Amino acid sequence: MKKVLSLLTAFALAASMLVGCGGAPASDASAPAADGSEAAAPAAGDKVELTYWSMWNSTEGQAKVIQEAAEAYEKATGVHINIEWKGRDVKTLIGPALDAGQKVDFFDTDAQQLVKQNGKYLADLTEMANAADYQKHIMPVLLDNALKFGEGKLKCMPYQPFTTGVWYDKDMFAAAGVTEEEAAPATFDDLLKLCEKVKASGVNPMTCNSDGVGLLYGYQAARYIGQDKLNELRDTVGWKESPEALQAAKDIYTLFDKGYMSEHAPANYPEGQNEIGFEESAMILNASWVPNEIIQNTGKAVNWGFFPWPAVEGGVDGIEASMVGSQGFGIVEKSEHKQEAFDFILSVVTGEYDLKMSETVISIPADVENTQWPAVVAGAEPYFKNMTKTYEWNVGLTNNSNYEAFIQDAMIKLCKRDVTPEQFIEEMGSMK
Amino acid sequence: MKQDKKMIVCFLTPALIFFFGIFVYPICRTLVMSFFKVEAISDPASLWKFVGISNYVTLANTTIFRVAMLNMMKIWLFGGIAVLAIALLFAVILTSGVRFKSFYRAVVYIPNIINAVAISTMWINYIYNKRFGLLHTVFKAIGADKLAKLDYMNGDIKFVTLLIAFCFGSVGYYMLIFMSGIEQLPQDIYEAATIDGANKVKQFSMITLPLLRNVFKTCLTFWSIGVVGFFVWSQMWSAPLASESSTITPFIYMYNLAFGTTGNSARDGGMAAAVGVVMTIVVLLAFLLINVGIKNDDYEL
Repeated sequence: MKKVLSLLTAFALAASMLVGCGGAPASDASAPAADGSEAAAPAAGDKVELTYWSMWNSTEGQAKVIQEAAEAYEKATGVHINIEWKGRDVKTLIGPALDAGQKVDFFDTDAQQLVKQNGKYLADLTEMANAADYQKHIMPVLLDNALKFGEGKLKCMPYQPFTTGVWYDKDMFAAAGVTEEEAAPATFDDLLKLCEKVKASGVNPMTCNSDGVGLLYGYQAARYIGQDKLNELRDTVGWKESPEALQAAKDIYTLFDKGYMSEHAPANYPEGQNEIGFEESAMILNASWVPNEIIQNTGKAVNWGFFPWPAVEGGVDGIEASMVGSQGFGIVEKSEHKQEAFDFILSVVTGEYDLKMSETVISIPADVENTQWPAVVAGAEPYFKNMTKTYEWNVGLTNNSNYEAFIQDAMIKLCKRDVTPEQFIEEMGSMK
Repeated sequence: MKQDKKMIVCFLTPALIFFFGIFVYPICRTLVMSFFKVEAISDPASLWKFVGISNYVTLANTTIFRVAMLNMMKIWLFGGIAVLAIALLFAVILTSGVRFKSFYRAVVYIPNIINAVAISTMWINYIYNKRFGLLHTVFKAIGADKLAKLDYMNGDIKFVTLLIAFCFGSVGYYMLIFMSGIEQLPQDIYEAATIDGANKVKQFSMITLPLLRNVFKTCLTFWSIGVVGFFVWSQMWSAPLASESSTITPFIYMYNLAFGTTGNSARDGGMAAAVGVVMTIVVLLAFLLINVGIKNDDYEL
């Protein structure tokens, strides 16, 4: 009996090994055309399969569009996209997985993180992009960012871009008697006048979440001294030596002190932003995903308007500078099917599916040929297209793990008026 | 029974392989990594650059790490006193013959079977919310306007609110341990004490507490290990941000170093490993101090 069992076990092991080793790699599949549109389907039994690790969860709007694009791509080319919905954790999972030899052909995450953290795994897509005339489609500012992150190499195909600025309820502005000219303040003083007018109508002019205080102070400081100098202050803890940093703190303090901000601001996310949907506050400085979030959270179809954060007197930056970013796809250098992966991604980040993505999740289209922006974010279009300078995430204030937690706390205290602008700068300058 | 050495080897080998593969090897790798400049934790050793103890020196001079350690110590001390005291109180009450003991025990224990993310969401949205939360509503109803307007999720009070919520979720676990310890104590000692005229308070302080010394030791060890690994609650309290100095703990700092944060793509696997090693040493030290400080029971029941 023992012998029979042993033989059976040995047979089962051998069989499983044969099965495990039996799947021949389909590396010689005929590559589809560069534009991904008229590729010949590979011969039967020689099917190409790509593995994609996605930053989305399968129930999210983005996932549904990508899934649809994958099905369409398979139908057109015969190339199957095996999608693994990893969610946002993909950023922590992908490096160890690739180091361990996991077969992943392409993946996506925040464009900056994609290239800066995982650039060593990614292929330079410049040649494929040139062949497909990709540069014709991609927004110049996104291409610049992608090349900057990749130090001259194109290692990322951006999609679902975002911009930041002040989103406001047009109807509340109209009720307050705000003119079209007043609704686009050119300077910080104009913004204060606008706030005063809106306040007189009986609503809070502005509001913010506690995660938005970085944008408030960051924008104001960067308008005075620019992104590079702000980064320098952050890394050298040189806040005390910068009169502009103090002035920016005074400006932001003024917004709260004069009652131009909601009494609940800075409120825990997403309470602050929801005040606009509840018709309690009129404006918020935030990213272009916030209008849709407010609609989803409060059910109020706000009539959205937009203006960029204004310039300041004697400052180096104006409305041409904004914090923008995007998600991005990257193709793994070791992938045997880089061209197929590129073609599929191209079909997602340009044309029909880019437009579908923008309509589904109310975001900005990445393809410049998709000129129809969703109405909710359309107000940002003219400014976005004339932008020439980009700010980092949170205007760089949280881009140093040794100081980000301190800076965040100090900014909250400033906005809650627990400290004066002078004390704020003193605190910021004593972080070491 | 005759021992078959081959069988022992056969049964032990898989377990040992797994033990070394997923426990001993990562510890050794982390220890070695902490002496190197490493960007990503999964980088091959060929990319590592030896830097000696410089990661530890940098860590010692990094204010945010010291703040994180201080936060952890505050949670350990203040939270520990509160949790263990309340857990002991509940345990004593529930083992004193109170009716519906099983019901109360289940109620107090329930937070332990609910995911920490769900519990913290409940606290943040339904209790601490400064517009609609329970505290706001209650204070408003009694006319305490200043308290009703208090922002529980920002500023210095944020740490206190975090601690209260965390302690709330922890009491049940330690209460069960204390209850099982108390239930094992022989009743005849209490009967004798009652005959001698000792009241309940005296019985608690002179009999229950001294006899629970080993249980205290166990609870303290578990509490220390739990606090060193404090992560989820802190993440929830600072969400959607990566971290804030009022709620940051060493593991949060380690996570930020190892994986970067949104907008901060810089990583330092070597420093993160050094944090991990320091925290391991802290756990070992805590374990040692607890064992040395609290002697084993030297009586027979």
